[in-house]
Amino acid sequence: MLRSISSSWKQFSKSKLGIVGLVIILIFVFMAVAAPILSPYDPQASFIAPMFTPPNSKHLLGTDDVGRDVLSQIIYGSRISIMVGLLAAAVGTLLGTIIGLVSGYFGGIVDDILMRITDIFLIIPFIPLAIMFALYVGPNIWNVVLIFGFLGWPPAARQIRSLTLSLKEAQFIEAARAIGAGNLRIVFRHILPNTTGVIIANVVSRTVFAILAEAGLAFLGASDPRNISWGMMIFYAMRSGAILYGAWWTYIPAGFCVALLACGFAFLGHGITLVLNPRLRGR
Amino acid sequence: MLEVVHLSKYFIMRRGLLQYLRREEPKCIRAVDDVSFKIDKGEIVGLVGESGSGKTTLARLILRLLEPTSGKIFFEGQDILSLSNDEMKEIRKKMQIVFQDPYGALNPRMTIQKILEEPLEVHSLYSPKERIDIIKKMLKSVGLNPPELFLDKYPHELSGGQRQRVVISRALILNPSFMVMDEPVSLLDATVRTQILDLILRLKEEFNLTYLFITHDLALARYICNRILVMYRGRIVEMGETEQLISEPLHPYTKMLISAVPVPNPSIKISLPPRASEFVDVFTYQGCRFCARCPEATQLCQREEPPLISLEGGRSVACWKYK
Repeated sequence: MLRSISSSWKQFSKSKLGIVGLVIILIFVFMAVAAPILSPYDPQASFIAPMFTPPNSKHLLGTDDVGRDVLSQIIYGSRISIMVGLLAAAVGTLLGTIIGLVSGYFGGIVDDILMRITDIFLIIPFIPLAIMFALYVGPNIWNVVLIFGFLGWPPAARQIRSLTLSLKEAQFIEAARAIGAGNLRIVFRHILPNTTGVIIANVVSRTVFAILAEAGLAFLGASDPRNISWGMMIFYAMRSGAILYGAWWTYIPAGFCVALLACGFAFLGHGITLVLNPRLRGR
Repeated sequence: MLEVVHLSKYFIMRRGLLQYLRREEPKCIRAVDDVSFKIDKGEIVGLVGESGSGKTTLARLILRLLEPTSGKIFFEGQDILSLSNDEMKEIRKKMQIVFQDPYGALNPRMTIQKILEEPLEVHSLYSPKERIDIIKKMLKSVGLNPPELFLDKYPHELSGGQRQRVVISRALILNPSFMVMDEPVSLLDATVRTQILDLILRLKEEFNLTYLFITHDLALARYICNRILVMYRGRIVEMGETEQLISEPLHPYTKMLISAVPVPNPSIKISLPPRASEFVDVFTYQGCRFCARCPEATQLCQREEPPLISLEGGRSVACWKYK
């Protein structure tokens, strides 16, 4: 196990993009963890300076429409983005993995039913559905995570299913059955460990998606108003007329951070693909 | 020890929508068709045939990895097709299989120790500590010495021959009495091949085993088997004692197989019987299946399928010539 981790790391470290992605993510994670120490002001405290104060030495990124420090909000906002991104990806991938495994392994009518449900989820446009659910169950941050998770399983289910279909024909599966192993054992001991690559790749790509979708949802005002998130900052900036006012510092940094973090995960994904797919190596 | 009675497995092909609407009969492939034979304790029975003849399907049916379309399988007097899952699990301890491809037969994510521990775990045999000792003993007896060197290795760190030894030890660890060898050496190098064959023969004596040895190599079957079954397109066309069957083959297909074995003497010219065509429509089952390739086919052969006829000396052949 240790050996395989170190050899994987060696492969990964060859991908410059992957390293860049990892560094970006680590910086943001550090920001999120050390937010109380790093941020110069309480992000929720209003009128610590006049509204729309441009960036200056006391407020490096200025203040917003109610005089809150933008830099502090950016720092605290990283918490929401990273948390929602990772948790939603985890919930979605977990669900997708289970559904994909069951569907692929048992086949037949179970497979047909599960895959038709997957089709339905795949063709419904994501954001409108997410908004509808968010408004219905109440837009708090855990609900957002669950909604993204529950709406985000189909790609994982599809991929895991197709992998399971090919794995279950493998001889080592037949050998396990000849030994007397039951279905549960075969699925969890033999098939699941061989799908880790796809699972990791899925978590990463779903994280990118969830970060962007959370920002989108917040921008449309359907996220938790009590938590500062980057999308929420842009939402407030829009609503308060910051754009007309020319207060670019209220929305440009937030947008930049969303894009940068999403890029970080996308780059990381690139590096991981390199490790998982030996055929891409050395190109 | 093992008796197979009128065993058949048909694979039915799915019809497309158009075929369904036209009410076409679904096509089916008779991978194993009405096969009956017996294996006695201590025997090595060879199952010979070209690829696609249904050898592996037959092996999987015997181990009940596939459910047959019809027929019966008796193992040590028990009709295993009527057993429940739990009862079947008990039987699985006694019948095991060694696969052809040592690369595909081992889970790439498990260490050798885990792979060998699994059968014991599934049947909850021994304590974890005792298991390690048993695994080490087993690795030694298949020639993986010293065993400590292999316990923490992954399959991709071993050579083909070493992996096949692991596959064999996994099959042996439950102490079975009957083993199906599904072309265990066909994917190995010539040098490794003889080593593994010797191992297989040695283990048979050591563990008191009975083998069904599947191969497409008649020379190999001659080297290790007591009896040989020749299969062609799902049917047994001839069976008999090894020496008899090879020195005087009865069925035209067996003759063809034997004449195809290369002889290590350049002055002997091989004369293959003229063959009509290797392409045979696999969906029609009228007449003898070998008829299209048979140099001695008559009109009767095209019309009716010959039954397996028992001759003296424990031989059987499915050919109208011997009726």
